[in-house]
Parts: sequence; structure tokens; C-alpha cells
Amino acid sequence: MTSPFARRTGGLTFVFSVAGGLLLAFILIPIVRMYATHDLKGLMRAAGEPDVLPAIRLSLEAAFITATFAGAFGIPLAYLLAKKDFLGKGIVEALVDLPLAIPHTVVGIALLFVFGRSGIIGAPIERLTGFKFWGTLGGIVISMLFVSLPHMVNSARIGFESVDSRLEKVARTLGRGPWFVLAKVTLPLARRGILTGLMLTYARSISEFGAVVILAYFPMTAPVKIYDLFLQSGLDESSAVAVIFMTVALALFIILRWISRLPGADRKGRR
Amino acid sequence: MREASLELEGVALGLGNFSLSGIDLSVGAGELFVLLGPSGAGKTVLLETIAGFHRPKSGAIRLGGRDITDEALERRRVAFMFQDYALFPHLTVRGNIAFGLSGKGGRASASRIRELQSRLGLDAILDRKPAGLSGGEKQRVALARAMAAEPELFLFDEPLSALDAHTRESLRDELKRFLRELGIPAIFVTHDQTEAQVLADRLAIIREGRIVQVGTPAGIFNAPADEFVASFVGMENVIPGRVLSAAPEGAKIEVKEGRNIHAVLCASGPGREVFVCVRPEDVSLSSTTRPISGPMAAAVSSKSPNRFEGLVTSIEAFGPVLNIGIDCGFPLSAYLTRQAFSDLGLRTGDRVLAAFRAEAVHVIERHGSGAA
Repeated sequence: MTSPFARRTGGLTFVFSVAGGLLLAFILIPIVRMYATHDLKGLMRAAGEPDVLPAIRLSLEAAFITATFAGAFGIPLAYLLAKKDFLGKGIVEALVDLPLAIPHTVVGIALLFVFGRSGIIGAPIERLTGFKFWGTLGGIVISMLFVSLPHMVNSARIGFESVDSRLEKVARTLGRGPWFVLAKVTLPLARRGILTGLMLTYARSISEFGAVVILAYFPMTAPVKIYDLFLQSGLDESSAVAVIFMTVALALFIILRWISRLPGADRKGRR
Repeated sequence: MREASLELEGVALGLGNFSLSGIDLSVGAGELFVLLGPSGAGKTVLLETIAGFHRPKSGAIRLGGRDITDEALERRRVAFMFQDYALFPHLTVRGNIAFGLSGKGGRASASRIRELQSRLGLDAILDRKPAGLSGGEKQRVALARAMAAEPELFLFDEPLSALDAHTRESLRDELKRFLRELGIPAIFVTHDQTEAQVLADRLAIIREGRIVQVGTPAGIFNAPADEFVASFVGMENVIPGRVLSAAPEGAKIEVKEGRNIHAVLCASGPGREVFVCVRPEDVSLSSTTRPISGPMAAAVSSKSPNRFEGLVTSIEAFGPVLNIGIDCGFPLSAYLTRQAFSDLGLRTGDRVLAAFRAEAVHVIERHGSGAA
């Protein structure tokens, strides 16, 4: 059954499997333990608490809007980074990764200076249109966007980089302009990377707490609500809401993962 | 000369390690033209420049009278065929073909697809994706896809080099027949001289970004312009020497003291440094003790003023023949059929008589101080 090669690497495989297994246990045990502390009745009661379901809904909506914006602005940037060479490309790439390195509370404070009541963008916009970022859905989306953009851009860039540029050249020689080629060749073939980016953006946005809590404590997203409950009512109540929220988030995560891996147009292609 | 379809005038380009300089080229209507050269000579870059992938630094490219030097790729009407055909992996064969059908109504394009599919025998695979197709099927799909866009010129970048020898030959023939039928001119890039000979009406030899020689295959293979072309097109014997005498009835070239080669044609005067080129298939071998036998015997004995005794230094299988290396005071290669080889019973170290006719000798002037 096992090849001589496989047998010789058996020791290595064993050691690495143990290491990997410990890591998986580290992910699973806290989740399972938390689920185990709650029965269905308790969960139902927690779900009935005021503001709990609206907070979850707000989280899902805000993350959806964030992913939409991230796609609209991140996909073009990802395309440029993948397909074009330009001066200062290294700087742009570093800039895209920067949000990953900043503590999210710091992000919240920095955003407050810009989008807050007296922020350099927030103030004039409020004066002109009455639209506020501080303490609104707008603020939640801004916070989520800042911390999740790197995932969108980097995943989509990998998707675009995987598209053989010869295919795009051939498409042009067949008499088709750049926009047609983008729509019919590049985007379909980069589909997986783009969907992964959207999915990671969505997941990252749903789980964001630090930046959101500073720019928009209210209206409460689910993570903020859980934190609020933890401070005011303790572990039992907050963990019940946490279980509900996590269940919703996990279900969504599984569905999105499944969608992004559907055997679509691009999958049967060249290796 | 046929009316020129593609014209390049002084095209120059710098691109990383590659550069092209002063490329003048003219390809006639319906002509099959080959760019032949070693790897890194710039032949692919030249092809890509014609396609519009690179913009020339200077010079002009005209196609059918249009100046396409700065024309956008999609308006050039130049079909580019990559080595592996670069079919769209996410589209079916039908989708690939339809890609280039622009601006026509549904009915018109459907009938055009039908015409192309039956012409190229694609009916059975229309709904398949490219991944599972054979090399021949991929080539036909790529041709149909390109044809749909109605190109005025086909460009092929090493079209057959990724295939095994058998498939290569049959696809080469198919390709040539198809292009002949269409009457659309085509340029092939290759480093394979056999392929060049089979495909080309005319060919250009490229070296270090410059065109060294342009001509018919026969013209170039029999009369290479310099020693680089000579060795590149399979003149294995390129022997340096000096012209001793040159007269209308023949020339004598000294390649080593006491060793003179006779040539019928020699443009260089006495005292000039030259290269003597002899194709290995033109060299016949015989035993130093036994007389020559076979159909070549008469020809060799009566018309071969070039007879040299030498030692066999190497024996290598070379496709259907054997390449025999001989030291005659200067190195010489000869091809022997396996039959002739076993008749002669040659072994390394044997003495052997090498002979070739004066007509088979091509003399090239050595330029400068014997520069390569």
C-alpha cells in the first residue's frame, strides 16, 4: 500500500501530524466547551433579550456592505498590482498590508480623527449632508473596511496573478478590447481569488470589534453587544449570545466557503 | 515577387536582455515565412512586436498597406498562435471559436461557427473544454478561433516544438495545407531547421537581434551567407582555410599545410581567408584498402578531387544515420546509412578515405580578422 518513499517519511509525517492535531484541538476545544455550557432553552431566552437579534442582524448587514465596498475598490487595485508594473508598486503593496499591522483600537482612534464629529472628513460631510459616521452604520462600515481591505486586495491579486497573461493577449488579438477581455477572460479566470477575498473580507468584518467599538459603540454590532453584556451581566449571559452569534457566523462561513469553491467556469481549466 | 503583405522597415526595440535592431522584412501575400535562429536571438520578440505586444522604439510596421506600428492589438487583424495555443480554459470549444466573432448577429455568427467547425473537423468536440483535447484538436480549435476574427496575418511562436516527433510531423503538414488553402500569409518562429525547410517559402536567419540572411530554404541551406548561418543550418563542416588559387574552372583552398580542398564556386580571390563548408551528407567514406562500392562509386571516383585519408575519431547515432567524425588533419563529419556503416565495418581508430565533390563545397569569405 505505502510506497518506499512514504514509509521513509513516516516519522516526519507522524511528528507533523501531532503538531497539527494539537493546533486543531486548540481551535476546537474553546468553541466546543462554550457550546457545552448552554442548552437550547437558555439560548432561546438569550435570543429573546432586547437588542440581541438586531445586533446580529446589524453585524451581518454591515459586513455585507463592507464586502461590497471592498470589492468595488479593492478588485481594481488588486488588478493593477497583479498585472501592471509602476513606480512605487512596492510602497503601494506595503500600504495595502499596513492595516494588518496596526492594533484595531488604534485604527479606531485614527479613524475617529478623520471620520469623527470633528474629523477632517466627518465634520464637513456632516455639515453638508447631515450624514454622520460617528455612532452610525456608516462608522461601522468604515471601521470594518479599514481592517479587512488587505484580505480583499491580496486574495484578488493572487487570483489575477493566476490568470495567464497570454490568454489576455490572445483575446486582444481576436479583436476584443480591454474591457471585453476583462469581463470574459480575466474576471472569470480570477473568480476564485476574488470570491475568496470577498469571503475573507466578510468574515473579517463580522468578527471586527476593536475599531468598531471606538468609532461606533452604538448602534451595537454583535461583538460589541457581547462585550457590553460581559461587562454588565457577566459570563453566562454574554456567552449565550456569543454561542448564538458564532453559530450564525459559522453557518455563513461554511456557506460562503462552499460557494467560493463551487466547480464553476474556471475550475476545469489549465493547471 | 508577390505583392508584399507585411512590411517591416528599420524596426528596433530594446526589451530587457533582448534587443532588435534595424529589422527590414517583407512577407508576400499568402507567403509562409520562417524566422529561424538560436534561442535568445530575438525571434519571438520580433514576432510579438509584429503582433503588438511590444512597441518598437523606431521603425514602421505595415500590413496590407495599413500602418499598424502603433495600432491597438485588437485592431491589427493579426492572429498570434502561442506554442500551446493558449485556448481559453473556461470556455468550451464553441465558446473559444465564438470569442473572435465580433459585431455580427446571432445567426451570422452561428453559421460562421458551423463553417469553421466543419472545415476543421471540430463537430464532435464543440461542447468540450480545452483541457481534455489532444494536441491536434487544440491546434485546430486555435486555428478556428483565430479564423473567426478574420486575420490578415498569422503568427506562430514555435507552434510544434512541444509535441512528440510523430504528432509534430502530421500537424505540420496539416498546418501547412490549411494555410495554403486560406492564402493568408504566416510567419513561423522556430529553432528547428528541418521545420523551417518544410514550412518555409522563404526564411530569415536571426542572430542577436539582427537578420543575418533572407532567402529561400534552398538558397540559404546551400549557400549560407556566413559561418554562423552555415553551422546553424546544419553545415557541420565549416573549415577555416586560405584561397590558394581561384580560376573559372575551380578554386583551390588550403585548409592545412599540404591539404587542399577544391571548390567549383569561390567568390574570394587568392590569399583571402575563408571558410570551407561541406554538408556531412555530401561526404562519402570508403575503406582505404577496399575499393568503393555502391551507386556512389562512379560519381565519387570521377568527380571527387577532394579525397582525404583520415582516422575515425567518433561514431554517433544521429536519427536514421550515423555521424562519423574523421580527423583528416582537419576535422570532418560524414553521414553514413546504417547499411553502409555495417558494410564498411568501421570502428573508432580505423583509417578511412573521405571524399566529396568540388560542387558540394561552399566557400564563405571570413570577415575582418576571422571574426566569428
